[in-house]
Amino acid sequence: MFDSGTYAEVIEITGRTLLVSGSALVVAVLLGVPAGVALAVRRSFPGRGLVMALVNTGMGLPPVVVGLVVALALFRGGPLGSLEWMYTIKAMVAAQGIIAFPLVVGLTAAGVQQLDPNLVLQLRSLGARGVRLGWILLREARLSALAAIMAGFGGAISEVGAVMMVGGNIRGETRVLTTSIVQQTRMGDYETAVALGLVLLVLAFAANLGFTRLQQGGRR
Amino acid sequence: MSAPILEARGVVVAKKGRRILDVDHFGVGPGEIVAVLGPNGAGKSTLIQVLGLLERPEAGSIALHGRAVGRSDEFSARKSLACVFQTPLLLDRAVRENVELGLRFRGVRTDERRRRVEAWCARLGIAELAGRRARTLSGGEAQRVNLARALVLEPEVLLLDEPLAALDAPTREAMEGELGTLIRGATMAAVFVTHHRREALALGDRVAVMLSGRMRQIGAPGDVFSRPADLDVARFLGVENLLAADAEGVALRFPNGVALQGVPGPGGPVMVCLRAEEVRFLAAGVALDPGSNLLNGTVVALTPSGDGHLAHVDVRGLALAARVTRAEAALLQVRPGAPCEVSIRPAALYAIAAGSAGA
Repeated sequence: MFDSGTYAEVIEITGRTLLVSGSALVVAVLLGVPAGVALAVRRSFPGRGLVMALVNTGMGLPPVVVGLVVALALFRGGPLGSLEWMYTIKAMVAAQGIIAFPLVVGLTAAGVQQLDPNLVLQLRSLGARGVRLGWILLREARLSALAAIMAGFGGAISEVGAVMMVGGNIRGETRVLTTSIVQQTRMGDYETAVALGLVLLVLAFAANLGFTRLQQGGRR
Repeated sequence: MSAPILEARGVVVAKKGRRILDVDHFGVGPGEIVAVLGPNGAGKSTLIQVLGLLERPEAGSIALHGRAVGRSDEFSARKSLACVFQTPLLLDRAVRENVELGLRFRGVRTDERRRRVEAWCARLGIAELAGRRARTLSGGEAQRVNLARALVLEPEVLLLDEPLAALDAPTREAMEGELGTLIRGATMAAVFVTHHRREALALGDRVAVMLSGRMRQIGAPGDVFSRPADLDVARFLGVENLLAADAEGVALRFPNGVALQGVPGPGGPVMVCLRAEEVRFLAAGVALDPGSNLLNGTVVALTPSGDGHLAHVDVRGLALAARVTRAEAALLQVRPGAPCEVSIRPAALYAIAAGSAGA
């Protein structure tokens, strides 16, 4: 399917795809899971309804809009221009992290909220509080939490608009599988585009298989 | 009651503009079990949450050993308490891990944790379940684990929010006596919330009746059940005979001309509370307790009630309910249409001023 040069490039693009989407997922999970748990536990702070509405809206964010906003922030004259992240992997991680974050927050919060509300009271009465309380609730809602992580990963690895805008699809530097598929399709090289699409699907499937095994293992 | 360990002082909780808890004073003393009895929605669960320092009241305070618990003391004060809720709310882990959860949170050493978990699992008859996943337990087993998880903390005050309500009747009855024995054996105080009168009677050293968020009566179970503070309490406690009368001294005159001897109480228009078990059917020739009221009437109907019947008796237009066992009913020929003789002790007639609907 690929000659040796192309094969090496596909390996490199696949590695970069995993690096970008994996890093974005790590950022989204580190920030989003605690935020989701906190939103679920603290049910009465002022503005909670607005925050939940924003999170739910964020779960359907158009990647192109995210790309545009991140690009405007990172352009040389933008508020974060001094970081010089534009057309780098860092910008792509930031964009995909922003796409994955609300998915992780929203689905984690929904999962924890499905637990019996008295469980929080029960755990507090036993002496749990703060991070420990959140961790126990998360463990109880682990099926939903892993679903949230899967959704975040899916949202990150499958998007093309944002990474195209902030990464620029630069060969050898910021090209990932999705942007490469677009490129090959534009060039009329459908065979390579389809092959890259299959690689992306296998990658997504393998990652989700791992998450699913982790998730369903918790049921036993 | 000796000085209370845990008290609610002037506690008010409101939700959506409605007062759901308004308690001037409520306390539990060392080694005492107070049963809080009230219908659903009376504010009992909120009381447990406030006493357990899990919900802050809008006004008033919770005091532990006479000292009001402030925000900064809440976490440490909670270590003197343990709560048991209606549903077991066990974590999806082994029974042993669930039982020792609170001990872990409270920083108890591993060897001490192991000793206490083994001891309490054995006392609650769940030692053999220790390795099982909590989600594989039956309702009764899960509630035992729930109780073990609280008792293993050996708190000064145990707060129980209808812990037996979700159980089937035979399991509930079996656990009722056992629970009292366990609590008393561990010499801890307890506040036990229930809407079952029998549970309150069986477990409470004192019974508090709670209606619409307020404590309407607190006292010894016998006093509360036989001498309700007002009509609402009497109705909630299921006093079978609530009869309008005029009181003059110890004489109680009913509208149909029937007169009975009571005990000194309020004068004028009253409502007389009379428990059905205090209306006793007599066999001809049986000697009466000295001073008992004797009435002749007719049995109107018999309805099954508990282990026996509730007999509806007409005494010259005065309708009385009397409790009778199946054996007594057969022996004394208590059946619809049959004439009968009943006796009522004067002390069983408790008069409350008419219109005392309570606060």
